[in-house]
Amino acid sequence: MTAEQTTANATANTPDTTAVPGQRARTPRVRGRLVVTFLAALTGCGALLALAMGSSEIALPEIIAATAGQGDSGTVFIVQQLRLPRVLAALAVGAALGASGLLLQGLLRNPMASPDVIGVTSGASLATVVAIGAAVPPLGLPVAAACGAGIATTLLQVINSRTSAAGSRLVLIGIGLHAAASAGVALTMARLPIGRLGAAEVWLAGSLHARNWVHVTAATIGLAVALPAAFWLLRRLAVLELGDDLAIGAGVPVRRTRAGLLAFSAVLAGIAVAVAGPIAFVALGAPHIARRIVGPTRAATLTAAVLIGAFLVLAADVIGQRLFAPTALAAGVVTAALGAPYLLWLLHRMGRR
Amino acid sequence: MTPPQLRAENLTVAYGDRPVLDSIDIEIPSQAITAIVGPNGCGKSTLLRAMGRVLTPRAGAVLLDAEPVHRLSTRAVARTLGLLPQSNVVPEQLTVADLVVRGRYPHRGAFGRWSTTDQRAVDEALAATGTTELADRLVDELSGGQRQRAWIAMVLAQQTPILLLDEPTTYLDLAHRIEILRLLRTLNTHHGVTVVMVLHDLDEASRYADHLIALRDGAITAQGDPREIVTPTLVETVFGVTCTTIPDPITGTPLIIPLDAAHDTHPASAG
Repeated sequence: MTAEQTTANATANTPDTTAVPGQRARTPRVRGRLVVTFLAALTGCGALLALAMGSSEIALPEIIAATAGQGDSGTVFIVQQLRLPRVLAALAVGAALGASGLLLQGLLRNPMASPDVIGVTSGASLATVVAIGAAVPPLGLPVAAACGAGIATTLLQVINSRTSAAGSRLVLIGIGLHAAASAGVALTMARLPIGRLGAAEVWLAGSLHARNWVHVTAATIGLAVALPAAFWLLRRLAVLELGDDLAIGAGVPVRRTRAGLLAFSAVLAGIAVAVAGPIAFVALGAPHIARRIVGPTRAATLTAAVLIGAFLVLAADVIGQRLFAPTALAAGVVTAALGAPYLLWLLHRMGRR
Repeated sequence: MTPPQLRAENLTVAYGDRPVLDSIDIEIPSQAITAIVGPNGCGKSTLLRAMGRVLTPRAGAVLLDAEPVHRLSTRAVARTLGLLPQSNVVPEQLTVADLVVRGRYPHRGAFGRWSTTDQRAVDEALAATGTTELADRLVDELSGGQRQRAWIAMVLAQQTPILLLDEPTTYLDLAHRIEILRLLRTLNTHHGVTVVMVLHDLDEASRYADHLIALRDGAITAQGDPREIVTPTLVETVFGVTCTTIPDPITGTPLIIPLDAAHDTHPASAG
């Protein structure tokens, strides 16, 4: 009936599930599992399609063979060195954004919250633009982005701990931080030498162009740490969403849980920004869609948010590459274009309630 | 197993510089119903929240079996002490079953499996509160009384021998207030649950509680059996209302009849 049981009952306790009186325990759990399976299949198919599409069309069987290193060397090179890392990077970025947004929206009890809004993403952007200005080599940029996200989050925590822990206050501090960091980005851009301006512009658009295995490896390591932590915090989050006092009563260490949620949300956003630059909307939209189809916080909701985020970024990247080919749009531009109408629709719905 | 003992020693709580509770000593009688009463702003919610370790005392301590609750692991306390705050948040799309399952958190932790014990606790909590039929309904869409029963079910699923409730009957109509109070009475008599609640209505408190704590300005004015302590003098001291008390015709517990000064001079009745 919740979440947690989905995973629990998948592995054991089958007699227990059959002993449940009534059907109420069944429906949401089965539905969660179905949704997750469907989303995983959808994302998998999307990834295969993305591998097959490009300036040179390659047939699907050849793609699959080439990922394993078989076939003619040209195809293997295109698939293994160009397309596969780009697709995997897109999936990793989307997954990180989906999880980051879900944690943050739960923590702030605000469906409109996302790392873009509270200044984590713009903090990362500022650090990266400064690094570009300081002529840091391209591979150093993800490090700079991660540091920026970390500094922004630390600032957020420090200022917030000096005031009360209330969610709305945190959002306000975040909005202020976001404004300051954005101003910093504009200022830095104005002072960049012409030669580096292009690199900064491309990065700020949120692009997956020319991502290689270094990016994929870094993102995978980050996700391997942050995603299990997100799942670990999820049950606490489910109780915390009911109110701070109630959560304390139910044995949730509220302060530490809040700090943990904020930290891991920022780490996940930092991973995404480090790999692809600021990609708008996904961290807001993916968890929102996940909640709509799976329901309130449970393991399946987080899994769904991760998969939806991965699919959205992948789709945005493919659309950006193919829509006006040979002119390519950055994935961040596409998500922003798709996100705006969704956001308006969301506001419209909230206004009616 | 002996029931756990909850008491407060020299409990002092302050918001910033403003002291709200001043050196309070109380002992909550085990397996009984205790009601905390007093005028608005007297610190009764603060007292309950301090006992539920939501607030950290400035001085003194809340002791659970002689151990200060603030030093114990919060999850361990949550297996002994359940707390239903006054206002809670209802996330979108949350069903009653989802809500009640969350009450099992202290027994399960982050990755603990859903066990037969968990399922039984949830089923019992739903049955005890009469919410079994509502399990699939959205908490958002319930009536006030149903919603309050769902919240109580969530706290019951924690299966704690002690329950703290902050104004469980506020905002409810008469029928639902009585329903909730009867439910708590049943939990107490059938399951030996120690109930501590903040109540607004002194008549209801006298009728349903075995033990009354009357607070005024952050200090205890009186505590004991409502039949013995609820007197016109007490009501005058605590609420500043002149009244007389009569025995409830059904239970014999005190009923407050305010002596309305305005009433005496009202033209219609004066004439």
